[in-house]
Amino acid sequence: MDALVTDDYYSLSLAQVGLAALLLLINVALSIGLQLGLTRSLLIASVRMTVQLLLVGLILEWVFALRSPLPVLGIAAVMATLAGVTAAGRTHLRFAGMYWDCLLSVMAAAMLVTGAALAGIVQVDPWYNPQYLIPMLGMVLGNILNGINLGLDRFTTSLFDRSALIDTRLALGATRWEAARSEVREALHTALTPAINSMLVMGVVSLPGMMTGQILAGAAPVDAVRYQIMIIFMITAAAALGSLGAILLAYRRLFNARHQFLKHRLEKR
Amino acid sequence: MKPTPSTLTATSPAGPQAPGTQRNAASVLLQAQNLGLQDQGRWVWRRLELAITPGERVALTGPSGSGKTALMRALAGLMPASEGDILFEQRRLQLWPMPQYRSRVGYLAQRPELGDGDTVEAALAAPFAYRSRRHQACPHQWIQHALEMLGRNSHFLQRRVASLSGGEQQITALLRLLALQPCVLLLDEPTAALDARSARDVEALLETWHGEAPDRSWLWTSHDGAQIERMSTRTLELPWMP
Repeated sequence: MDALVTDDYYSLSLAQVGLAALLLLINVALSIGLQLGLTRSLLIASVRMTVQLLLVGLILEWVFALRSPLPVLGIAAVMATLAGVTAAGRTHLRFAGMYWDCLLSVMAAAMLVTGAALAGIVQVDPWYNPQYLIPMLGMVLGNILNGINLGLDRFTTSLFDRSALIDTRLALGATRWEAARSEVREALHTALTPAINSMLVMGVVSLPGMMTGQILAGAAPVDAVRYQIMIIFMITAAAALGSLGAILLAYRRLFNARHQFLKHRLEKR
Repeated sequence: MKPTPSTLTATSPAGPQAPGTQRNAASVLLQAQNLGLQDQGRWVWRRLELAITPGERVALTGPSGSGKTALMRALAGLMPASEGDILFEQRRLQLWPMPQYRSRVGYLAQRPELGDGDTVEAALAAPFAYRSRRHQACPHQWIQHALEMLGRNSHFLQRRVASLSGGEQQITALLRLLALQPCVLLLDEPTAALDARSARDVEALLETWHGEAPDRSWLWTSHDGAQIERMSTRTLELPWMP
């Protein structure tokens, strides 16, 4: 493959990517020189990253050529499932039904926000156009995953550590909601803090990857910025919705209708 | 493992009394019928029969690991028993709205948490914000009076919860519970963290509380034989189940 110069865009050939791989030698040299013992994992990680991305490139090429909604939705569902499973798989404590709760929250939040953006704001035609749906969904899912993971981890850990306090509240006549309210609030706070922090420094400390990508691909910076702003609002809303859903579903599993806190349902991994 | 059946035995410092089941049902305030708790395949206790009549002061004893705290928590409705029934005022626990039930049957944990509220005063007032307590006002005068009985003045109310000693926390938790005016108290070693004098003050306060209404009762766990003699008219012993 030769390097192609399109209208306003330099395409990369495989040979050029190979040249870029030489940059890895800096890391390898550092690892060997300072005896960091990271050479092996660096190489494995680099190979994995390259293979995964090349495969995704092939799949996306195929997906973008699709002209019917079902396969696109199928891929979206696979992405959402992976996000849900990952969100549930990375907390310190777990409880029965957690995977389903995370899956449901991820699906609902992602569908609502991505759907609203595609059909309502950008008004893509057709609405399932994979060139828009897949990247947007990907960004939304990544942030829901983080939000749920942080929020759920905080929620279950606080309940576990403060079980005596929760029981005291219940014993004094609190309803289950009154007993868990401050823990729910704290967990949501934890889930949303990274999204709020990143908005605060956006464009000043960090240049978002999507915007940079669009600019590299030849979009006008003002245009790229508008897209980025929309995406940030989308991912913040989706993270809030997803983590709220997961936390409330967890609350329903850990407190029964008899206003009892079922601490024994929480297990350490 | 095959569970061994057992029954809660009833003895009294003044001599044996009729077991709980044989009491007149109409005069029973809090009752457990055929109660059992299973934990990881082992029966902590099983086929428990227990009945507390209005005004009764009952001690709960038993070796460590016999499940005294678990029984207290089950009676407080904080955890489900594996089998059997709990009745309060002849009504099954399942039929009571839980916050309302817990307003009548108060539970004091062995190591209570004060958590909500920075100062003692705020901690005492916190439960009155719950929906089930909305009709109830915090009895400030009663609290002042109780504090005097415990040898403390109103400055104690302004103390920060974080600065309280273990004994003071225990006293605050007890005050908070009594201020809610429950009908039955489930007291899990309420004086275990206290020095001898404070323990006697707490006993005096509870005596006074008990005398304020005819149906006030308690179930009290303690390892102190002399205290059991002073504070109860009847002892229930939980057997240890292997």
